[in-house]
Amino acid sequence: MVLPLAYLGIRASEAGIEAVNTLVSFRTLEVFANSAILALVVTVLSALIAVTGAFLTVRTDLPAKKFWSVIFVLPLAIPSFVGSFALIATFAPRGSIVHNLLAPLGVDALPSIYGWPGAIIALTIFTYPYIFLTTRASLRGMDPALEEVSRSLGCSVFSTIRRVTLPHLYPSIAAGSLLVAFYVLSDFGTPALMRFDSFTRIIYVEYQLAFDRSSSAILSLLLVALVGIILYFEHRVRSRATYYSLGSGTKRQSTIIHLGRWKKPALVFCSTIATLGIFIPVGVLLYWFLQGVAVGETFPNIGSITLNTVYVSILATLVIVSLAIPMALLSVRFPGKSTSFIERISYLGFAMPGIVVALSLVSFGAKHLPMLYQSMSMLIFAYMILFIPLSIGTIRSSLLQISPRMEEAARSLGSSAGRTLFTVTLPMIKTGLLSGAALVLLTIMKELPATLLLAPIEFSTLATQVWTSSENASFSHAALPALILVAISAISVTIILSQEKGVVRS
Amino acid sequence: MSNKKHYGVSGLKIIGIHGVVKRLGKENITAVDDLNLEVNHGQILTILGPSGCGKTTTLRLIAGFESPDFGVILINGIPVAGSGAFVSPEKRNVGIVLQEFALFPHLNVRRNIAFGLMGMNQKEVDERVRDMIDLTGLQDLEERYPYQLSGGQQQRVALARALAPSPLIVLLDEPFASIDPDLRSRVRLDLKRILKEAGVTAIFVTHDQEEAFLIADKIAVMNKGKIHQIGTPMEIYHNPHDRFVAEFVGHADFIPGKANSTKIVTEIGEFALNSNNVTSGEDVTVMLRSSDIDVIPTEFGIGTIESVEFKGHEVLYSIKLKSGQIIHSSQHSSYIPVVGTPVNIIVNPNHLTVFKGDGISTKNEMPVTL
Repeated sequence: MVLPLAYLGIRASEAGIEAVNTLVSFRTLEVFANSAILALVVTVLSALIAVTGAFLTVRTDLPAKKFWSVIFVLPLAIPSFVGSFALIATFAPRGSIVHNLLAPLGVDALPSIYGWPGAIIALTIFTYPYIFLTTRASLRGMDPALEEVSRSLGCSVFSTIRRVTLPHLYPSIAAGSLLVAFYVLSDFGTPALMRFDSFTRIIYVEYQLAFDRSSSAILSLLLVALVGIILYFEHRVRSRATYYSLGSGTKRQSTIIHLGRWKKPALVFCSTIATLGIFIPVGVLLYWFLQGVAVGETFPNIGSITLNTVYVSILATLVIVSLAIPMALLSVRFPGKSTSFIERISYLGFAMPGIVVALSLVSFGAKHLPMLYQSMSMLIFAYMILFIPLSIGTIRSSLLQISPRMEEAARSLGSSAGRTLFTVTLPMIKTGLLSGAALVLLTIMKELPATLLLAPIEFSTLATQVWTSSENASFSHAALPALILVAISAISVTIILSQEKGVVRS
Repeated sequence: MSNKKHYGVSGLKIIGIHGVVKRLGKENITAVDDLNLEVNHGQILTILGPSGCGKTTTLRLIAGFESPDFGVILINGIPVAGSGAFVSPEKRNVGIVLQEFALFPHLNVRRNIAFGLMGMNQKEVDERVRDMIDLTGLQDLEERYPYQLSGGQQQRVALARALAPSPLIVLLDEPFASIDPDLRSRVRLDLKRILKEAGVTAIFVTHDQEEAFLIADKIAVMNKGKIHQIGTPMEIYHNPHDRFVAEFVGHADFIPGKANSTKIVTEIGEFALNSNNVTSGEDVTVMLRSSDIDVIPTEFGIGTIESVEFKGHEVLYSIKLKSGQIIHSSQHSSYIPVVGTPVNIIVNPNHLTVFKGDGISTKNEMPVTL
């Protein structure tokens, strides 16, 4: 984890005076501002959508609440670069579905979706579910007594929402918002496809075109710094949030707010989000796929690409999980200074943008390990750095659910530490372990920037296939792999959600 | 359901509940069944009953979190629910203290207490909060957050918060349930003192009879949505209206007997009968509390000691009579007869409670002679 950062530091310092120039250049400042503003705008918009959605689906008499609450989560199942591609294929100035429809009417080109509007819309639509999930969980878990007391102290329904309910939700809104902000800053696919000059895109462009490694290293470090600032705030919010869980509360249904004449606007709101987040992306992918089939286009060999993807993902998952199990065990059962340090370091990896890790490995490999450069092991190493935190996290949460008393009971019955591990601990976390591994597997299958930079030549995965096809605006080529990716994502979202439920139940 | 008349309000009654019925949930379980209850100004009334008896629903009906299916609820003579009226909770001027206190976790003690003080200027708010802090003894805790407080402190904050807007009534739902048992007795007396000093009318719900005896001016014993008896703690304990009340408020044994013109004849002896309700030859049941019974070890006793529970300050004996009937006796004794010892028993109640066949008690104030 430290290696990529240290290496970037070295590369950056090699640039010397030039580095200072790069650092203060107008261009760098612009990119910094772009990324920061984008993260802010997307987070605020996402929070608005998510909180409204959570409120509507939990606390009002909205018709078909269960249906809508599923709908509100579904955009999570569409990788943002796939979603961006779908939006481009729908709304691009030329050659898109809408343009094709309007062209006979003499419309030469649609207003451009590229840049700010595209980046904001795509990222908002495909990341707000993070906030929706945290907010909804917190709203459902809220003790109705808090609102009742507020009512009996003289507050009306609306001033109760303002003075009690929203403050109760702030920590979960903040937690979700930070996930969104991280996502926006480290996402590579969306800004790149939407031609929006964010850090991730510029780093890639610098590397690709100028082959200028020190300036892309400097930019990477700046991005990491920005992420670090956000991490710091996240830490503060978390430690403050402890007082929000006070007492278990009674499991009584909260009062339902009657929408009355607001029912129609509410339904319009829900349908708009559903259309943009699910129906357009999936519909458009299907459309281009069928279009491609209809004109008899020759698809690139999707079979071997899928096989590649599965092969490399399984390999990486095996490596990751076998490393993650001992780390998770250490951190849960023997909490100490060094283990909590390991844990924290690996969580830093969670916030580390894939493009940064990829870049540092590329530069490091090209210079010092040429035999490994653009080899499979390099790619798997990158996956390991990127996704080991995820794996440790899932294993940890299943470990935390089993009491160490079980292990102590086994030990007192004469079982050795090793035997206890294999006969008691591991069997008990088996389900958690498997779903955690599946999650890692599916996440790797969707990974874009590291794969793009580090994969051996001529080795393409589903993600890189979508990427190259949509960069070339050959929409029908991207459609099938994109659909497969959506399916993969859908499975991983299901796993995440079922795990959350399990935690709640226990 | 209820065709009870809308009672006139005497002016002393701050709460009047008349013929209230409430069904809950999808299965329409009757939680409160034809409830009638009145509370005087400044009184502490305890609703005592097992869990699920409808006592919490009664509180929620008064607070306005539920509305009755039938019947009328009056607060200070004004209908707040029933007969077409419904006053929302924030307009009822009723304070509430809940089981887990429901302190606002994002506000410190001072701001929790000030929460309900609206339409006052800052100076008045500060003054009122100061008064409440003095009343409840929360000095030096003003800036703490709820998670930094002990259970007892949280309870006092919840009480101060409920009392701050000067409500007509305070409702307390099992306020001691989440307080450590060893602190409870102290906290109970504190609560009673605070409520009395504030001069507020209070309705307090609990399943713990000891708690109810300690705090209440009057107790209403409730089961399955109905009130079985309303009375002072003394009345409830010594003159239970029916077997449910008798068993719920303390340990009781029921000895079957037969009434003749002047006596009730039972296995453990004869009791003078002084009631017009019991006819000669009727089967009755006599209730005895374990504290009313002494055991005397003798060679040819009417029963034997079945088990001995040493409780420190007293010893509880189970005595098996010849008929198989078990009877209990609690005694302060440094000498403990062993299990199997034959004993005679001496009954010395200051009055006798006799139940007729329908389980309803009949007045029998006569001292007992054996």
